[in-house]
Amino acid sequence: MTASMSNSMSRRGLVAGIALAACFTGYSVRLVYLQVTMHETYVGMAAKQNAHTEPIYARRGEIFDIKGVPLAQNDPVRTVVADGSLIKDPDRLAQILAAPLEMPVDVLRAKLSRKVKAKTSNELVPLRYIVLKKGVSEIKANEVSALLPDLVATPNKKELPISAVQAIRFERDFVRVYPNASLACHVIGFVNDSGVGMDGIESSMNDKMQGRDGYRFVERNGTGGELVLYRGEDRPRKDGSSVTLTIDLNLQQIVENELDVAMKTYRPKNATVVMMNPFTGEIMALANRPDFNPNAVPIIDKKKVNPMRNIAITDQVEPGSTFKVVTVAAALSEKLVNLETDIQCENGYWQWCKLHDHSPYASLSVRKVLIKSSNIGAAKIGMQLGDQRFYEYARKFGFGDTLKVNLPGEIRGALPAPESWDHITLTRMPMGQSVAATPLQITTAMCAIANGGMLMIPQIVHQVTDEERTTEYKPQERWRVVSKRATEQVREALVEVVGLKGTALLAAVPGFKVAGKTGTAQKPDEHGHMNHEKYVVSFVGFMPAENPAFVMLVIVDEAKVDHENNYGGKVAAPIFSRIAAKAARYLDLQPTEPIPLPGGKQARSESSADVRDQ
Amino acid sequence: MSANRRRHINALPGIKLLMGFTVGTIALLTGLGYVYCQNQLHRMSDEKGKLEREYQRLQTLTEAVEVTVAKLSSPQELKKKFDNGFFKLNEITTDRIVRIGPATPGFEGKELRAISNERGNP
Repeated sequence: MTASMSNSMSRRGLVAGIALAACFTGYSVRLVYLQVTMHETYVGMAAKQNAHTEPIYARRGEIFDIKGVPLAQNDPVRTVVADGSLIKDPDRLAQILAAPLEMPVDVLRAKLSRKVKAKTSNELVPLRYIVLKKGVSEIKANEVSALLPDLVATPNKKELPISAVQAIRFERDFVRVYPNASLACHVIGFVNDSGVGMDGIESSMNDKMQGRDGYRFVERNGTGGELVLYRGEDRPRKDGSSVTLTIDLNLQQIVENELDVAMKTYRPKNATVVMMNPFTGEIMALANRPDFNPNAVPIIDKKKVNPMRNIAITDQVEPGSTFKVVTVAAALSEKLVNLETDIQCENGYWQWCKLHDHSPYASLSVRKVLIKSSNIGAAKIGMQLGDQRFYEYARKFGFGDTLKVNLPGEIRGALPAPESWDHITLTRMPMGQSVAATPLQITTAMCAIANGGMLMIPQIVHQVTDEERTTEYKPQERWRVVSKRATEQVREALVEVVGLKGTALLAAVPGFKVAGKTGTAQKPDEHGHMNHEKYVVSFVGFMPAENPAFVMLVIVDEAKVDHENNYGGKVAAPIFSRIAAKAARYLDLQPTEPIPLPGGKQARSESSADVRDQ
Repeated sequence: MSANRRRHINALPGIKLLMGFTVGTIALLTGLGYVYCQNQLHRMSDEKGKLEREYQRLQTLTEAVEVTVAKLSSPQELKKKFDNGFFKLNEITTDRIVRIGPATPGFEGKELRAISNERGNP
């Protein structure tokens, strides 16, 4: 090899090397440009083609009764969703899906053809997330899912491109169900189509029960399968908190069964029962009639009573004679009277203020004012208290203001201040006229008598449980209303109201001492005059009188019975008695009084020792 | 050609070759390892996806069953069954109920104690 040949080879090698290096440099520069400079653009384009955001629906918190029985649950369903960008023939797909989804073709076609303005240009592009139908059951969704490829491939019809099949997805979702149907419907409430609570606990605890939906950026391959490896940013769902109520479903069932019987017997406009634990303020049962099924919320008929109204807190009634308890308790607490103080009852008619008693009494002791339910007696006791003091006591008993129960729509009732009273108002209010209260207010006031004088805040939520902890809602005392001694005296008198000489013998429960008070209030007509045909009758009492397990109010509005029988003692008291007897059995309350046997004998309240002796 | 130059031309660069071979092998193994790991990653992520779907399916199934159980054990449903004669109830009247007083508080120790028929505190 000569030196010239060697030089020539070296030069050629150098040229080739430089050419190759230039080539690779060019490719490298291009590669860097594509991978680094244009990275975001191309990732965006790829994502636009194959990736989308998939919502992860949060589960709404469930509702339970105090024993853990479910009252509101989530039934798993599917939401049928379409990706418009993958649909080439919306008309054909609409025809295919209409029958299995049980939807009109026109509606489906309109949904599948929806377009939106593109983000980068003014061009209209197909919507990539179209909700076709919500609440499709798992079984139905599986059927449609399996059916779709077959339908598309029907030989007689023009085939759809495979992307149209991929365009339909079945996302997991939930629909709210109430397994006990109308039971406790006014307490539980219901949710709207978007899953937002509209009434009852569903509404008042909506923020806690709603939870927060999550999402996930999902990339799919050519066959529509998810590329799990390329999952993007993830925000996990946060399920809503579950709420445990103070309601006991068994007591609720007892109450509602008796309300149904009462509705058939008396055919009233509406009726309400509230049962509370006087020592904790827990609402053990609350029911109204008419009612509704929250699984199928009715359309409101303006001519009829709205069945969705929770009358116990949204409506006010004149409490009538049940309010005499407030008057007497206040006077006893102030030591203005004792149970044996004589009250002049004007022989049944008090000329000065045109006030009647249903029977003429010359004078009655304070005890008998309650037992006989004397209007004149109550008015005179109220006058001894004076307007300001009477008003303050009524306020302390919880009237004229909301009780702040955890349910929506609670009203204040009506308790006018003394400045707006006329000269006879103080004779009317002590007997429960010129004042309006919600059924819950009347029950809560009686709780204060039953528990020794403390006003409790009515409680409907027992506890709230989320993924991390359980928050208990403790009983809350509001304030002392009257002295313990005064409540003991009132209780003594109220036991006699349910005795042979009282107005509420029909409220008696064999084996137990019941304390309570009847109420009968005339309703005004549309002109504001008292209607002698329409009455709101009530009974509020507690049992056992010595150590109350519950306080219960029964209100029946416009019962269809004779004028002579339309009294709290004749209509509401028997309902109280039946519910209380069943509740006593359920709560396993030990009888303290003799129980009459069918043969006319009397059974003693048993104990193991008694049984052994027999 | 001198002996010195001949030795220079014919000598094999053993160490360089060995190094090249080693580097090549490492690069190859790294590449293969990378591909294997990528495959494993895809396989495992697919497996994860499958397990997630299965878990969701079972969770959904559980929820659906819970809803069905709640519906079937609701008071209304039980009442329907009762009305259809599926089961019957025997009423026990209040006068037929025998109430046993609460038990006497037990001893803390292990000593034997006499059986007593006395009732505890009411």
